[in-house]
Amino acid sequence: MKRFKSLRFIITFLILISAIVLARLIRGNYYMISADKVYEQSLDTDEIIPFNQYEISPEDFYLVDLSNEKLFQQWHVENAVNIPYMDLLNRISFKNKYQKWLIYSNNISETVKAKMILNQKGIKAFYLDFAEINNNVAYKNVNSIGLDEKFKYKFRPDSTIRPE
Amino acid sequence: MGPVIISLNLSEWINLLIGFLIGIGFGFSLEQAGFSSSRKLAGMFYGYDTTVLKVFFTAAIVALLGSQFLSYFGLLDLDLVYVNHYYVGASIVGGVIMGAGFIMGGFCPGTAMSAASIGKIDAFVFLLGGLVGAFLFAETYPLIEEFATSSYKGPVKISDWIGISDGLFAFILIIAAVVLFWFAEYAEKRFKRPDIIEDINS
Amino acid sequence: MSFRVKFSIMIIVLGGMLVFLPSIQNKINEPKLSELFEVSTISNIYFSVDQIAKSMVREDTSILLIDLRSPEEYKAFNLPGSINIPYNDLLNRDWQGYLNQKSIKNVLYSNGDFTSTSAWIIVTRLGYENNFILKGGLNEWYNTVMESKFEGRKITAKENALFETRTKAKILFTEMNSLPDSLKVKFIAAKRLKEQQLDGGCN
Repeated sequence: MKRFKSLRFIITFLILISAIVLARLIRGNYYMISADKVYEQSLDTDEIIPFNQYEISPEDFYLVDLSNEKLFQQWHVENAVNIPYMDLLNRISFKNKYQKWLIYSNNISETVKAKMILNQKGIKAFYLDFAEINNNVAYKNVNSIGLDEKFKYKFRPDSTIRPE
Repeated sequence: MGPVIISLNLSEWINLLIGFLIGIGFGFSLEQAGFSSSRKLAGMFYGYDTTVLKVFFTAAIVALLGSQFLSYFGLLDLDLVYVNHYYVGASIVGGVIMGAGFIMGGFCPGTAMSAASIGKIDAFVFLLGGLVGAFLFAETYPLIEEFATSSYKGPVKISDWIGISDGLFAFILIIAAVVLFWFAEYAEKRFKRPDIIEDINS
Repeated sequence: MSFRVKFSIMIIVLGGMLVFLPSIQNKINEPKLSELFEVSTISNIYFSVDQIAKSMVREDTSILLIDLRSPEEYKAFNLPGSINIPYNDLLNRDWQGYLNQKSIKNVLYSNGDFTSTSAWIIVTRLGYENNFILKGGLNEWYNTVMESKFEGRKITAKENALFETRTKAKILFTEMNSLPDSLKVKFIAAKRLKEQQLDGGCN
């Protein structure tokens, strides 16, 4: 007991430090990977998973629909969980944090933002791509994550124009 | 203040002033701890006085813990902390030459400065020797350039090299340091020499 | 118990804590994760193609268009007044002078939303301000501006103004991109030099 008493100051100090550490750990407002790493990951095209590949083993993923509730009720992939983009950070829990997220929505920009923010939080996330089952999908633009960067038109130069 | 609190954007002269004050503090504590005596450094070599090891290792560990925790709390950007570039051959040869100089002179550059500041003549000779060495190195650099820049490894950290996290490496180093302290205490008892300070004073 | 033992116990416990700390990658000049997320939820980060068409017609110099496609695609056609920063080369230090500045609004665009949004997240994460996304990219530009047609009989004044802007932008786009290659390159080079002078270079 006497020994313990002489350690009192040190134990108080250590408890204080660990309390601060735990507070920061639980609040979790930090990046798990550096900006360079995020950039490298975004260049990786393996992160897009076609719908038919998902159908083979749906149990591997935590499927998330990022659109708003109204659109979700109109149509969604079976077993998908609805997490509107605005709500994303609040809906990350200890349970789904360690799962592989598979995300899609009607808004490609939001899907990309969500995926990159999840990556920076240390969560593995992939895009679900509907490119090949185009016709079955009730959403307007949901199919195009893989084809989004494809230019759909053709530029026709006007040969009659003369430089001034 | 270097990489700490970088968002304050202190002007250049304040940074230099802070560095100057820290330097004075460092020199003062070296002098107060008795490092201006060459016996301390030689004692490290013969094993009867391991203060140098304990002091510098403690300083390193405290700095290590401090930088890791500051980085964790977002106060320090570890990417801005300078990591020495590593040249394998040059480091080994340079380390041997420097260690031999320490033993012969009984000072390290820092303690030589603090000893010179209290007027020790041997410290002045040591510093002069250091300057001559620097001059010779600069003059003969073209001859040894090929060796000095060979086997360049870049600014590597040991933790990256082994492939473990910085935190784990810090922990291993701390354990090693504590074990080394016990060992140093043991060595001090084993190679104990009679206290000659009273003889000198009388 | 001596001070040394206490000190040893303390540093060992602190070191043990370090082992379990996650390696946090926050930099001091970067926004926090929640701040990044909050900025990403507001709709102000998007520019519509009509806004761009308007600024193009008015020769608005407060907006700089940044093309994230490859140099080949950029050379074939681009939005008038844009500069090319390929996404594959985004973090090159030469471009940081354009991306990290506080005077001009940068509008990032690519063919769609995918690349421009990725680039936006990365530059915002790095703490750069004044970067925006062209919603829909060049596909939307073609869909809205280039293919715009006058439909119906009655047209309100507002619709008329919009249509006029679109037509002017369409003509400007076609004219600029139909110039012979040699002239185009010359024009772009001249423009870049001018901007560097204004901005004080990329260093």
